[in-house]
Amino acid sequence: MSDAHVSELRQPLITEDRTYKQISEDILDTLEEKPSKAWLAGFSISALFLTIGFLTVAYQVGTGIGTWGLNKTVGWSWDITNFVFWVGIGHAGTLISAVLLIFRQRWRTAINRAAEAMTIFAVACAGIFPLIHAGRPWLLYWVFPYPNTRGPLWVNFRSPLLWDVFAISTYLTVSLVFWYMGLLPDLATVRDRTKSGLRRFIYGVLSFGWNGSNRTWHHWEVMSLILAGLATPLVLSVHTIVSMDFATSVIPGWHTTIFPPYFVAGAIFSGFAMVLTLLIITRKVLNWENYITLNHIENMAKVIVVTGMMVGLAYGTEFFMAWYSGNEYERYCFINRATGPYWWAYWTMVSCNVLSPQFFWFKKLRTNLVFVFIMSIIVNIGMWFERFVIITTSLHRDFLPSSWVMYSPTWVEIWTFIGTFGLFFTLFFIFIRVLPGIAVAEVKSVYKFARK
Amino acid sequence: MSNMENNNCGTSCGCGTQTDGYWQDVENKVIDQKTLSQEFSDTEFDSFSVKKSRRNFLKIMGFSVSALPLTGCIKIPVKKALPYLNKQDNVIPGVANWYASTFENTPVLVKTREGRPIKIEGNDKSMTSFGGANSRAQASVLSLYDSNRLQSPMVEGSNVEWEEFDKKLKEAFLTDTTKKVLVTSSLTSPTTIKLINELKSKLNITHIAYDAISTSAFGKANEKTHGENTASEYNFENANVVVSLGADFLDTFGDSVANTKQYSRRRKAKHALGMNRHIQVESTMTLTGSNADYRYTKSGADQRDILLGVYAAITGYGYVAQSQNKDIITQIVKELKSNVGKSLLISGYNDLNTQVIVNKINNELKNYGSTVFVKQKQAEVLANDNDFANLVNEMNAGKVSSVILVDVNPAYNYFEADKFSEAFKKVKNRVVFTVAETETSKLGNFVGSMNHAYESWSDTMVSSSELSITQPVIQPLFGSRMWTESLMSIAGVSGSFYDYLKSNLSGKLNWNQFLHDGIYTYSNIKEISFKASSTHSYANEIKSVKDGSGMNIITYVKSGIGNGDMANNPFIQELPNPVTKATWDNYAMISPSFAKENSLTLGDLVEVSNGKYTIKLPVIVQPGTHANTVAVALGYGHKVGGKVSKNLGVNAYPFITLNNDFNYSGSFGTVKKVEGRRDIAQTQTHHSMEGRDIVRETTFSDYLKNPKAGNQVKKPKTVHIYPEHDKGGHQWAMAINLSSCTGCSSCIISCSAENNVPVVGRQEVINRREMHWLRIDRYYKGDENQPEVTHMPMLCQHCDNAPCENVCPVMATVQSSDGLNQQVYNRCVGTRYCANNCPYKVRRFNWFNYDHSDEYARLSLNPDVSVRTRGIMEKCSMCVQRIQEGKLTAKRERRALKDGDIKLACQQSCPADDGIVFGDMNDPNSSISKYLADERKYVVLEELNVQPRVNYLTKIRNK
Amino acid sequence: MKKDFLLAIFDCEEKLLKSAEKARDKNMEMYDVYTPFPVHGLDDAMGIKRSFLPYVTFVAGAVGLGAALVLQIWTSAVDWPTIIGGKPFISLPAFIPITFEVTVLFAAHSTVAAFLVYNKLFPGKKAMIMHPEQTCNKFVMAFEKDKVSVDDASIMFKELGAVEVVVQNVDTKLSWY
Repeated sequence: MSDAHVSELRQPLITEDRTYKQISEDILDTLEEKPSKAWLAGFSISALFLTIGFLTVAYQVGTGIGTWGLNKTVGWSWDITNFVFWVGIGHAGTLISAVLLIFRQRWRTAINRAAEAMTIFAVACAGIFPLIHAGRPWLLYWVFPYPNTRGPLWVNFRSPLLWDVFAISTYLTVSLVFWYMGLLPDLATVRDRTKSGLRRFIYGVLSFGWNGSNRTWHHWEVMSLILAGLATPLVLSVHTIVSMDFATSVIPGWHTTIFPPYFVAGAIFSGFAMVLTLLIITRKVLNWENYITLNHIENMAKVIVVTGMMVGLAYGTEFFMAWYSGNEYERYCFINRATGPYWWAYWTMVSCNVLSPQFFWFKKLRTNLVFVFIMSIIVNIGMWFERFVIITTSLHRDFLPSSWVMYSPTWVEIWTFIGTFGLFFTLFFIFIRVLPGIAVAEVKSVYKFARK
Repeated sequence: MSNMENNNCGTSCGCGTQTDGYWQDVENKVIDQKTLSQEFSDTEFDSFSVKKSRRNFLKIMGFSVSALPLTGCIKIPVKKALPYLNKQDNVIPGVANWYASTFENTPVLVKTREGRPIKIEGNDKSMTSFGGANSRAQASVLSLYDSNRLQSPMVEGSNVEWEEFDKKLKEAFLTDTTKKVLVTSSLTSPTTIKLINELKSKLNITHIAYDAISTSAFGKANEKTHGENTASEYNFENANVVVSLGADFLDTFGDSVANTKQYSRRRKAKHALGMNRHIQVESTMTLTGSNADYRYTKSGADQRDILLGVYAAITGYGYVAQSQNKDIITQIVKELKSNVGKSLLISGYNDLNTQVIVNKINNELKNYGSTVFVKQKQAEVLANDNDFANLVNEMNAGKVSSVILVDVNPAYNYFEADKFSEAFKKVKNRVVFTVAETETSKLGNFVGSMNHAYESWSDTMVSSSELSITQPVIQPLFGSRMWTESLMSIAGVSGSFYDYLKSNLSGKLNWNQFLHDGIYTYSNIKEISFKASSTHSYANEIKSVKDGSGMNIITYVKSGIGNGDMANNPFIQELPNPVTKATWDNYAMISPSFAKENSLTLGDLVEVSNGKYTIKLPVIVQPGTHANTVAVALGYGHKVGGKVSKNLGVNAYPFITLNNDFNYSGSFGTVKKVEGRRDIAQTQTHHSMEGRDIVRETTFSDYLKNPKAGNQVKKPKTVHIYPEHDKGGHQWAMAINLSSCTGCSSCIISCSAENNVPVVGRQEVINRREMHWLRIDRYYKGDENQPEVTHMPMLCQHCDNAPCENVCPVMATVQSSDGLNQQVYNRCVGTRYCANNCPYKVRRFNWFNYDHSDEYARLSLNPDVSVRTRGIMEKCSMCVQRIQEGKLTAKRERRALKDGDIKLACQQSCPADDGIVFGDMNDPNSSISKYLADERKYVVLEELNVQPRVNYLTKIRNK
Repeated sequence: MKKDFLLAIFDCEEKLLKSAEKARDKNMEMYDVYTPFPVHGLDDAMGIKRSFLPYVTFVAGAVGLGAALVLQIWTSAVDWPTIIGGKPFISLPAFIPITFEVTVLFAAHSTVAAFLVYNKLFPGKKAMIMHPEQTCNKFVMAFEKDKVSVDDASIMFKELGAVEVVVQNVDTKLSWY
């Protein structure tokens, strides 16, 4: 391809020379091959955890929230911690696909598909918790404002929980269609490549009759931009609203105006970490090193340093405000976080989220796959603890010392959490088996970027 | 049938005419003889052992006219149902009937709904209790329905009919010629005593009284000083100074309800005579001590030293007190002397010498006739601990062939229980009358199932001048009978005890009026004056007392639990102890210093031993306990009992010693740390207020200078960022006077009983999930050996800007137009967001479906309050059902709602004087409006601007 | 109905682009161009007008915004006013988050719906395929046979680097799999 345009400054996004046909093969052949041992192992472990988690939840719903470790003072702990944790993770996908699209970050093309998939699975995991944490989950449909025979009784539009209902459902559905619209061209590619008639039929149905007509491409690109434009404020609003579950309350440690940006930063932070965790495995297992390059890993590592420091700044600000406000309850709350009975949770959070990312200042480290992989997991441990600290340590000692208590989880809570990991990875494993894990069309479109 | 029975309600409610109405009903229904006799054949009158004949029928009617409520019983199979078409006036479905009765020493009103007793309230006609009721009385309704009660009389361990029981028992008695003894607890029922005295001769039987928690020395002391063996009466309202040496008079000593009423009046800053000053010297932290202005933690020896020091200073008796007590003695003497005739010294020790000295001091101070009285009693049989000890010896020696034990349980609560059991086994006829199976009844060969108070007829002198009725409010639920009637049948006395009671009283008082009011007051009761010449000899006795070595093992009475007879009552067990906040257990109370020395922490197991008897139990480190003292509550460790009480805690009775009178602090021994822990179910585990502005307090002197004292916290300017909603019509509000509230906790049980609040059990309390809508926060301040204590009732504050309402996604909690924060149970989906966002943490979540399945216990549920299912939030509703009832009554009577028409459950039961005030704050003349205008009024966490409707009045200490 | 098409098939976008521009200059009316990925510049070459989708988004968003406000205000202030936390029945600040979410919800889904409908894409539609590799690695320019002279066109496109130029009969009717 002698007449390709050339750039001396940047290196190509796809490292090795490939023809478009090869690109399709590299990415799509996995869908046709038999599942590898690694895949089978990973899938069955995830499925096992999913099953145990499901049985645990069944037991809890059947018996009552009493099977959890909660009490009269700590009404939320692991349940909402996990909810916020998963929602946070569920932000990176949309950010990568939407925000980076708007900013024309072309390196995103190789990772946005997987990232979006992860988003949807994570939000699905998150959605479980508001559902099962309710005392009477079978009545939760009451949170939807539809004309009913009970008056009609309407819902309380002043409640952040209701805002959540709208935010999460909007976010889930919009990310879903955004993701699926992106899939259409690739599904068509799979349809047209495959030999098997059954597969051709299935992908034929799924691909909505896409044929790569340029008139369609034209609208498709406009639509993608619009969705990206909508998804960007949406993704910010979602975690803002999640943070309002706490920010709009009166509880010291919750009632804080910096929560929205603080939570969004944290979400990006944990989200990118989770994307790293997944992609570092996937590129190895599926030999996608050419597409998901060190360059990607490094970029994401950089994002993690930045967001990690934003989170750190937020931690600092909280403490400053607690002191500066002169509010004795606020002050006690934060002193209690750092030095009270849950000090270990607080310091785990700080070291995982603020200190450890600093290693990424060194190019050596942020390009060392093993190190980055470990870091990505540490970061998510830290972010889980952040939510635990915010929720539990604020509640267990609030205004009246007479009702101060301690909280510890029961096996039911622990297994429910593990179960959601089971669900998340089960879905992800299925995803990389049956759908193009990399946006083929988009990768092709950037193949010639900076290439001779 | 239900309908016919209900008819009867009439007379005991004072409206006599229903009798005729009743007759007509029956006649008109033309019930043939057979059915009619059937009607009354089975359950209805058995317990009164009346032969069923047309003739007695009249008599029965006469009786049951006033007995009527008991016929409302659900247990009676309906033979003939009369439609409510021709219903009678006094039982309206959904409208409660109230009957005056008595529980223990408290005049009460029993609320029945469709014939079921569901709630106990103090009888406000009483000039003794003034409508107060303690936690035991509040909880007693649940004991009535205790499914562990005996189902029928037993002979030699097998269930029999009453006829057979009587027959066999008669034979046994007539053939028996040697000594027969009747043992009851102390009696203050004139009619019962009259009956017993008659039967004594008939059966040639001797009668003695036995109390597990004995005050025999008090009577004996009065015998020495006044020549009359009877208990003293107090009037705390007249006392400017109250000095108490270990007397827990607000909780477990004497008539705590009456004491609290009088005492709390003088805790009011605005009382004409000013506020009283209360000095408490004790070795363990009691509820009373926690309310004292000056409280000193002193060992028993020091307390004796102080008593003698005071005695010496006042009578000139030669005694030099220990140096460490000098200051206290000086202070006490100063206070007492400057309030001659207006002071009161009491001691809680069941010791003759001590009590004589106390009497002497009070006499020297001219307190008799003003703050303390010895009065002639209508009738009284007091326990004498020696008598019972002798009986045990006689039984051992085989000198006694028949013993009748009435509602006493020495096999459990006698200090030498084993010795008693051995001796008792040697008796030929071992007759035990008991409500439920006990350690003692296990040993009896004639066991009579006895009616609960609310199934019985009796009368009680609740004070020297006040007689209170005990009338049945329900048909005996089980195959039981009044023990008095059992006695009558043994003695072959015909008729029912009801007749006996009525004929005994009818001469003296207007029977129907008495049934209606529940109270009859005797006028001009003779007061007995102090006679004793010299009392120094008693002082010498005290001087010569030598304490044992080692830790002083004190056994104390725990509020609610009492002597343990109500240990099977879940309400009582889950009632947090006012001081330790512990439920469901007894434990060793040790001092912080002792805990440090022996590195003991909450819940560690220790072995407490006095050499003869050893128990293993967990410790509570209790501020205000003397370093040399370990205190264990009585009433636990039942070996026989219901599912609640059996094997709960350990039995501490064997630590009691006897020297003429039971001594509850006479044991000395060791406390050793042993392996293992036992969690103690406490409802509060953090005891410091962390210097927060929660309870505002001041001293009386400061208050006199400036009524706003202690309440001058720099107020945040409250801003409304949006227009307020209209606050017209009724606007309910509550005020709690922190100076009046003693923390006695009877409001907690009253609230639970009124609102069907579930009991969750020990483990769930440990999980911090108790359901009480109303709790009492207790905070310590200062030196941990002599801490200052504050009690603060905490309930839903019914905020106008309620944080809980904003966050509920489904509007399950909303504000009513009259200012109540309402929880809509059936709308709640259980997100618990409201509880998290409640600054006062007063919301309670149903973690499980709590058990209401007990077919008897569930009869005590209040039909006006829905029982909550699992997964929903609940909290104080300000007894909205009572508010509604009050409004409807006023409406029906075509009048405006008056202040005081509506009394909330907690408010009604409060033994303190105006501890809790409730009313319409839009009514300028209501008492609540006056409280809201008080300079001491404040709301908790005001800076949050949630605008609570529950207000507090600063606590004042008289220092 | 079946139709004959003249297909110019390329294996890289640059050549396609050149040919497209050439074709436009020669006023050859293109039926459509099929590419594995969007080729920039092709729109001008084909003379496609700016997409109408943004208008759909705007209108739908506006409707969503209105609907959300009306629902919230009507239910909490008109149909069943309830005092909650002492706030006014119309607590506008509290209504903003949901208003925003509903706006986005409507906008996004309407846009996608409009896209699918306009381009006649629906689950199970049989794709109209000119060349089996047009979604993978071939770039296909299609002309209706009777609107161009087959010979000139094939010569021209061959010169411009078409891997092949063929005439093919394709069914253009909408149909299911």
